[in-house]
Amino acid sequence: MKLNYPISIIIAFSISKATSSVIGIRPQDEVLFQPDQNGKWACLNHPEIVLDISKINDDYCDCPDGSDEPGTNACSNGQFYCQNEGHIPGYIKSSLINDGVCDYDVCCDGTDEWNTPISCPNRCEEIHDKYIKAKETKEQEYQAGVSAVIKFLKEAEASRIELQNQFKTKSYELLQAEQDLTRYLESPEYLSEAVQQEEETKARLVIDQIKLKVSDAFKVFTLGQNNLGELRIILDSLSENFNENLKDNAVKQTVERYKNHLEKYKSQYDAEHANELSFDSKSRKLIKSLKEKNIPNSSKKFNDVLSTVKNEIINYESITERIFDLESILNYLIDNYNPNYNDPNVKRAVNTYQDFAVNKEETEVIADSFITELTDDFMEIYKYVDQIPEEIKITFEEVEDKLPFIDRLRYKLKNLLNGFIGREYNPNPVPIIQGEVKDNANDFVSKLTQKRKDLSKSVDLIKKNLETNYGPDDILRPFNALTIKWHIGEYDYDFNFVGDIHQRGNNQNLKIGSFETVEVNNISESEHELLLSFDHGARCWNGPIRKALIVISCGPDHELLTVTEPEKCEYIFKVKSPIGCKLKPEDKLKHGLQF
Amino acid sequence: MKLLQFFCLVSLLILDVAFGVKHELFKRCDQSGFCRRNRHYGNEISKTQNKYYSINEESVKFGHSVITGDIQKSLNQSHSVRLPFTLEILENNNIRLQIDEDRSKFEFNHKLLQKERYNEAWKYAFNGIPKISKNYKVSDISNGQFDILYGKDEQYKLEVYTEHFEIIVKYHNEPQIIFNERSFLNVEHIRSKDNHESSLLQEELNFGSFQDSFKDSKADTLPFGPESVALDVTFQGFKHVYGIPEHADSLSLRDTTASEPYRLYNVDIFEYEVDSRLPMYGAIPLLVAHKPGVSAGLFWVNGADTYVDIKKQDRSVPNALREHIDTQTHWISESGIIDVVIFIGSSPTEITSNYAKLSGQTQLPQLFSLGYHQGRWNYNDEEDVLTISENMDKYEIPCDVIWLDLEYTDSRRYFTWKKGSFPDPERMLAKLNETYRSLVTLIDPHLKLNYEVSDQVSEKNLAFLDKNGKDFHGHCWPGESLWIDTFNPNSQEFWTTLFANDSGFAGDATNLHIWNDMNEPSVFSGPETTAPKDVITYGNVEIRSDHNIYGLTYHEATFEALKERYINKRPFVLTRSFFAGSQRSAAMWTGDNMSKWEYLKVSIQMILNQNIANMPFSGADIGGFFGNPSKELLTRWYQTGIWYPFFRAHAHIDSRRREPWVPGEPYTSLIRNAIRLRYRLLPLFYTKLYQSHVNGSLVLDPLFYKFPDNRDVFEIDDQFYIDGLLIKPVTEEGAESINIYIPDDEIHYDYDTFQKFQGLGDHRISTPLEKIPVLIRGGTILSRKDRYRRSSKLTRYDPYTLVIALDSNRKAKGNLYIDDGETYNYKLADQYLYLELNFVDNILNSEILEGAGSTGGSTKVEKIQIIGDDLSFEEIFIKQNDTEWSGSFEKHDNYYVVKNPNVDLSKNWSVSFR
Repeated sequence: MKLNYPISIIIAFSISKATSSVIGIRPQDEVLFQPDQNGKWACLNHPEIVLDISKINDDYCDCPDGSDEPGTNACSNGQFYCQNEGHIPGYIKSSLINDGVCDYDVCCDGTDEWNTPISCPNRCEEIHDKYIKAKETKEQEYQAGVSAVIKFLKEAEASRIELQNQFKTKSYELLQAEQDLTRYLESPEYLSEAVQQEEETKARLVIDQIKLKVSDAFKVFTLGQNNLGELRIILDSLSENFNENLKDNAVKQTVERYKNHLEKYKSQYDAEHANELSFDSKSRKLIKSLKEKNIPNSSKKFNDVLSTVKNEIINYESITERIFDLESILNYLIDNYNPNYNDPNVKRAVNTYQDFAVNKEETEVIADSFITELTDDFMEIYKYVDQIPEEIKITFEEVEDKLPFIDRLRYKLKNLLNGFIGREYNPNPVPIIQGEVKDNANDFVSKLTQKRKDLSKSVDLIKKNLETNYGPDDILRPFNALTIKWHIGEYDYDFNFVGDIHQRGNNQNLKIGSFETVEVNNISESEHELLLSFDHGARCWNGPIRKALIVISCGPDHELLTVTEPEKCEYIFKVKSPIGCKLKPEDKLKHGLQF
Repeated sequence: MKLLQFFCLVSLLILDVAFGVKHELFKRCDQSGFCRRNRHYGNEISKTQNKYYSINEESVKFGHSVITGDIQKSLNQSHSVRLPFTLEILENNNIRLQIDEDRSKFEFNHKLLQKERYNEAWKYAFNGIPKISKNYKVSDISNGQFDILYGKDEQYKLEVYTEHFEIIVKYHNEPQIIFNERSFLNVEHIRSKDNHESSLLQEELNFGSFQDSFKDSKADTLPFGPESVALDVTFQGFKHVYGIPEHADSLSLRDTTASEPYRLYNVDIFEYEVDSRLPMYGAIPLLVAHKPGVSAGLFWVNGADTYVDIKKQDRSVPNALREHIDTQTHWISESGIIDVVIFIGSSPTEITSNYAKLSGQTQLPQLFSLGYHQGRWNYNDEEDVLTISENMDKYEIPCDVIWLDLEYTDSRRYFTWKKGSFPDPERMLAKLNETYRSLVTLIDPHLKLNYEVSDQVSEKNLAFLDKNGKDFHGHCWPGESLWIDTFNPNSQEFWTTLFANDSGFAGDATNLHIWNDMNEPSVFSGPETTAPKDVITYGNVEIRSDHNIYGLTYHEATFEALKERYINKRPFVLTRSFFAGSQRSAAMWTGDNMSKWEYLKVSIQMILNQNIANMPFSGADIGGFFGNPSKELLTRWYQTGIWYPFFRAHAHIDSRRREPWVPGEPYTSLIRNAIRLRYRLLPLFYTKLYQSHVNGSLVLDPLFYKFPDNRDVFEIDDQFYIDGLLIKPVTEEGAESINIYIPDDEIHYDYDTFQKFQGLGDHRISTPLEKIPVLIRGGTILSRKDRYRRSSKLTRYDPYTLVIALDSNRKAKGNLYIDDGETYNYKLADQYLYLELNFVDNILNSEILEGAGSTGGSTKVEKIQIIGDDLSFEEIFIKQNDTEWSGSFEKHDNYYVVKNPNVDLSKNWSVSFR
């Protein structure tokens, strides 16, 4: 027969009694350690190895399975049985036997040190009391947390049911919308009107394209200006605060080079300082000017737009040049500064720049051809406008008055663009027009298509939400919209258990990560921890993307216990919260929960 | 064109941090006034062949083992400078020569500085006043020469030439060492700035004499002007010289004629390079020269900035059988006196041992400190520390010490704790102590301004002073700081109170030990990242003269303070900076290395050199401090690191975690196996450290220490012996096999398989990642404790295993030292055992050579493993206490195992194999 050694503690709660004559075994296993008629005995799992019975516990390992030395540490794979009378019996690893340490966590009776001068008084009573007390405390925390858990679970359930209902409704609406679209596309009304509208659409399309181009160009300008601003803050602060006593030549050089930079570009910086209009507001003004209804009379406006854009491109080129210069200064600093000097100001400059460098939105250089292109676009408008009959223009304007027609077109174009570059666009859903104004056919089709798309999207979203793992019994579901704020150490944290975690402090707001998965770590029958993984936070210098593990154990309130960063940019948050309480089946039943 | 704004990440490669030492921070010889002047002087005097230094024969006095007199430096027909010299014959046939300068006639009115040259380096470098020899004969002066015969059978002869000062030291009638053969002796005598130009000899260069032109030290006031001392010493027929740590370079020193000299100047050399003569954190100015039959040593007892030029001079006669190469050395120190001791003997071991008798032996470390040390900058808080400790047990990796770097302090104020992270240090220490683990925390000599400790240092006038006599302020980790001047005897008293038992720092914990870092001293705001040379230390001495000694005074103060705290326990102190004598109170490590294969390789060379220089308790950061080692490199580093006497893994704050369980399988198991091997061999390491403690022997022996007559081993520095174990760590990436060199014809057995290797020369060993190439030399008896325990102290009740590897004559020998592992009772009460195990004529004898026992642990033997060819015993008889009984054993192909012989090592016993 094989003796089955349990790994460590026998979980089953049974108070043990009685002792055995062979040290280190369970009383009931004594039968396995009897000599045969010749006074011999065989290793339990190696019957071919036969030993004199005196070799049991003689402090020399004879059996490969360690079975001849249950009471000593002679065999590296041995197990020693602690009776632990009054508490839970357990097996202790042979490496802990007779080593001069009372390993009370397994052997509360102190029998593991039977062969050393160390005295290990039996502490089972005290340990058992503690064990019971700890159990009680846990139970109290559980009881304190349980009503909150029930509340969350009920909310979760309600929200789930609500979603399930929405899913049904929306699915039905989607079906309807699909049918509407099909019907209309096949209708004679649609087939007759469709052709007429092509030209006017083209003209507006071009205008919108222009607006988009201009707006995107200005976004690039703004970004450049922001990047320049950030770099300057880094260098301003370094120049002001660095420790001149430290003989770090690289830092001194950096500051010197920055000073020269400011000197060299003084006129540009002064001009920018004097000019209060940001790229952003300039951009808005320009776009607004393009909203001119009377397109043929707009040529002056168009020229204004062109010259403004031209100017700004020149400004932007200067910005790019300065960014390049400042980056090369800072790259020089990174390559050459002496980290051992540990000037916090230098380190801050380096870290901030490194964060900036890896996270910055890179901008594409705006080509010279941009102006030519824009001019061509304007010319194209005239081509269409000339051909547009008067009455249609009026129709246009009417539609535009009632509807954000331009916006709709832009939206279309954006979608096209975004589709092309693979970027998600957050649409302002197009309102559905109900009868009042007779829409033209293409618009109506796009309206119907849009509706179908929207519905399909919301159905997908609901479905995805319902399929998301929100932990045991859906416990995290109600936390969708809840952000908990915590302060620990020098940082503030914004926690959304199923959204994002942000860390604020030191003039930075960093995303630590977004909720990815939740797992349950079962500790015992009555206890577990929730392990929430967050990933895809802001990138750290030298590679890693910030991520975090949230370990939630049972407690009466949400409480952030510790934040540690054992690895750079990998955080562990320890949290106590009712969410971490493992609901007993009877409590579920009592509160009528379905799970 | 599509105008798109898109998001992209800059290629991370472009922005990768560049690593490398900042050369521009450190003076090259040609940027250093005194070095450049002396190199120039050497070159010029070689051309002019002028002789300026002679002994004034009338001044010579022959005393008891001491000869004194004056050397005259002739400036011109009418002017000369008096340089009093002392020549002593010391015990162990050592010769000491001191040359000072008489400055009594010079007007020097500096309130803060003593006028005389600093002559106290020996007080730190020697372990007490050296004993003189009585065994010598001196001749009278005749024909410009006097001779001293000394040593057993007058084997040694010193010929002193007066007309042109020169000393030839002969051993076995052959000249071995010659002082001033090349006339590089130079004592830049004191002169005023006004008289400077006229004081120069024609061979002298006026560079940096009163003004330092190096960009970071332009403010040096050089109050004495030029005052360097220099001497040339020729080692006749010695092709190889070693020593003068600390440098990250080959063991056998290189010719520096066309490069920088080896520099000894304790500096915080950030991101140091390998194969470099640049100065590092510590300095032991001991050079060992060796050739078959004769070994020699030169101890340059000077604590100032020092450069050593080495020139290999080929003097072979054409068509001669053997080449004849002299090593010519040129020793240049910025200030102080010339104080040299020379050692000559028949083996390199004798040189290190004689040096150890003069400088003091390595202290016997506590057993725990030979165990595994787990460090990181930083373990963040109490929980982090305790989790590391728990994980060691979870993964069944033995471990003795967890380390806390800088960040455990409150704002980098030493003797404080960051309360948020370490709310109850005593609780944490008590928890670690449950399994007898220790904690080591960092205490550096720079003390942040404006807190209790630095305020008291200032009030009690215990700080370094600047050139104006005010407390010297500089920058280091905590920002603006002052430095405790441990040259000042009063500093000890204060320092001791800071560590006192029941002090606020760590209560009465007895498992707290100390790490002294940055004690070069490292001063971020100073030239060459250290203190300006005109900073003033205790006794009105510029740090220019005692700079290299400071680190020693600092860690010695810590050692003494801990000794007070623990009353009867041996303190453990790790230091980064060191000087000759540091071995008496500290272990060292090789500072901030990198996670690269070449640093793994150089660590062996550096640690062997530490052994040669009698500071064997040394190690390198396993895994490399900067960077992230590959899993293979980490594993190989552990497999190498287990042989470092000081065995610590450590990592920079920006490195990823790399504790043994981090790399995962199979690496974690391989690392566990390596660490467990180290623990099994702790009795061996402890015995080796004891032997070093008693007689100055090495723990890691370079091959030429064991085989001084085999010329082929003189340059081998990638393998070594520890007792009878021949070890060649794998230091190449992806090495599938390596060659191990066996230096003679003796049998060597593979440590793991007992496979036999025999024959002088290279042997191929296959080295899959799990293989640590180790051979046991035939003739060795090893003592081990094979059972895994959580920490070293927990092995104390475990029995020993003896491994006998028979040599070709079927003999073997070994020693074993046992004591309580922590107290001074071995010294105070003879409570130890030192025994010899001897296998001859098929009988194993265990005989107690010294000690009265009472070691407090088990002295049982559970197993005797005997390895050899053609073993054919049929029975064995064990004898102890006049009783004889037959024992049981197992037969295997190439080894036998005696099971449970039931003998007690605290009494003599024997086993006869029949």
